[in-house]
Amino acid sequence: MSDVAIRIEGLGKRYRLGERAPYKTIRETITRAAAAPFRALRSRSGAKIPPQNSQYIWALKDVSLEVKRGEALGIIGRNGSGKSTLLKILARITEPTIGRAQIHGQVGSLLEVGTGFHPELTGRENIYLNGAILGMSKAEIVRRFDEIVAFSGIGKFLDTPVKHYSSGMYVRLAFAVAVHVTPDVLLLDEVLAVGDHTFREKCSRKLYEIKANGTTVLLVSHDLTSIDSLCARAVWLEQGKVQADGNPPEIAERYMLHSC
Amino acid sequence: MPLPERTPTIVIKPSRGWHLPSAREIWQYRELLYFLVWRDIKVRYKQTVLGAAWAVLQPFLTMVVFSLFFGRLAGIPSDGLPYPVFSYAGLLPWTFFSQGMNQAGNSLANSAHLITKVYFPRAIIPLAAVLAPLVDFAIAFAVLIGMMLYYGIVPTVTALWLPVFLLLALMTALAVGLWLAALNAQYRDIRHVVPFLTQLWMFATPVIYPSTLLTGVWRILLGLNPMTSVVEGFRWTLLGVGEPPGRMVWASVGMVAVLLITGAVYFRRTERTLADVV
Repeated sequence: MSDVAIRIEGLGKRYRLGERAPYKTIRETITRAAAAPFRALRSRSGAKIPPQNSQYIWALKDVSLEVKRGEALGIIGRNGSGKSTLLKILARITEPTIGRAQIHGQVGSLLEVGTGFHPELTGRENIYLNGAILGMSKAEIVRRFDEIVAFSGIGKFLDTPVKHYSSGMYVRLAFAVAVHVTPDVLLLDEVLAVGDHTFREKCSRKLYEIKANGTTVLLVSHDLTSIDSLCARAVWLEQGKVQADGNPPEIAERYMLHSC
Repeated sequence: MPLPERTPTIVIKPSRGWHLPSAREIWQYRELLYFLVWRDIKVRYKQTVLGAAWAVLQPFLTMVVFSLFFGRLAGIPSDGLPYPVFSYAGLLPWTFFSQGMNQAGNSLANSAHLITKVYFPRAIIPLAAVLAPLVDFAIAFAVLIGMMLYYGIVPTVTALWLPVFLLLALMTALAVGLWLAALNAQYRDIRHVVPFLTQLWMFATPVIYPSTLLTGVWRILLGLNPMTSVVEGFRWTLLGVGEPPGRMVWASVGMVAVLLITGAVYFRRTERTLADVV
């Protein structure tokens, strides 16, 4: 068994920019299809095909990384630097345009707190639903149910529809489910900044515990201190490329200097 | 492999070509499918005051209106059966099918919050959407039994065929639902097409009239619509009218198979860019 948990080779993702909505209309597709033979004719006659008026942007370009088993890697970068795109590709939510990545082990992604929570369902019901969406088996949810409830601290509101919850309670329950999913590789996107101070501390401790149990963690964050406290290594992304790779304090300093 | 889930290796790369969704992967995610069906059913009955009564009211009131207008006023024949039980036996599978097709068609667009945040085989979403209406169907079916008792219609051993026709209705809803869901995620025009399609399709299906009303070429054309076989099949198995399943059913099965396979392949193709467009 290799000790590499994640291997990323030349990964890139291209998006189309444009004023029009990302989804097409039927009319556009039909017009394009009808024009296709003419385009083909023109290109055979040697004339250059004019570039399409829609522009492309590489949200991620030629990223190569290796993350060892049990390692915690922090990813920092500005908005639009490609860090979320990288996480989405690794979580298999979107496909890369080029390159490849290999992940050994069960992957759990936590890109948002409370994914799939339904307001009409009770806290109890949402624990099951959310747990299943995050990749837990039913048996696993049953086994860890009491632990999740205890962690969330929602107590007697367990059988109340979550639409009546305060936003703090909602987030606490959502996070409680999330931290009880135990994959081999955990992908986290700036989810630490939830709840009040005490709960945030509790979550940090829990993440530490998860890491100590041998889970490989990839953490995307603006918050340099949370990366520093959890990760022994950080990567700085800038315009879709890896700008620097090293120990968190050093990367943080370079990143801060660059942004000012 | 005895334990495929132990240390799986996931390879992420741009996909090419046309493929079917992986049945094995869908099977691995069967518990999520179960929870999504469970959620749809729970939510559907939670917020409504009448709850389960809606499952009965919708086909029942439609049957009453149809019986008045088509049965009484227009005098449409009903294979020698009382028009109410004739039309209800058609409306029952039709309602099940149209619910499944409509919900599956909108399912991807409505699940954007899941699709952009977590991975699972996307085919689970329309699959859950066509399975959830089974509960409504079961409730509405109880009413049909009541009506059969009232009119003194006793089903024979042919009633054992019922699950086959129910499955055909489910597969038709899934096949069309896959197409609509994938199209809907890319082209929002589809949202406006679906109600219209449902309405036209119902008139192309012998729900309010018997298929015997049509002859020759029209009958063959009617057979290409799988829901014709379903509705006729329901009447044959439960009420004992019409012909036993024959060539028309095979034509319908073939039609559904083609729609289902092409729909699944097209769906898989759309799946890879789904999170970017939905």
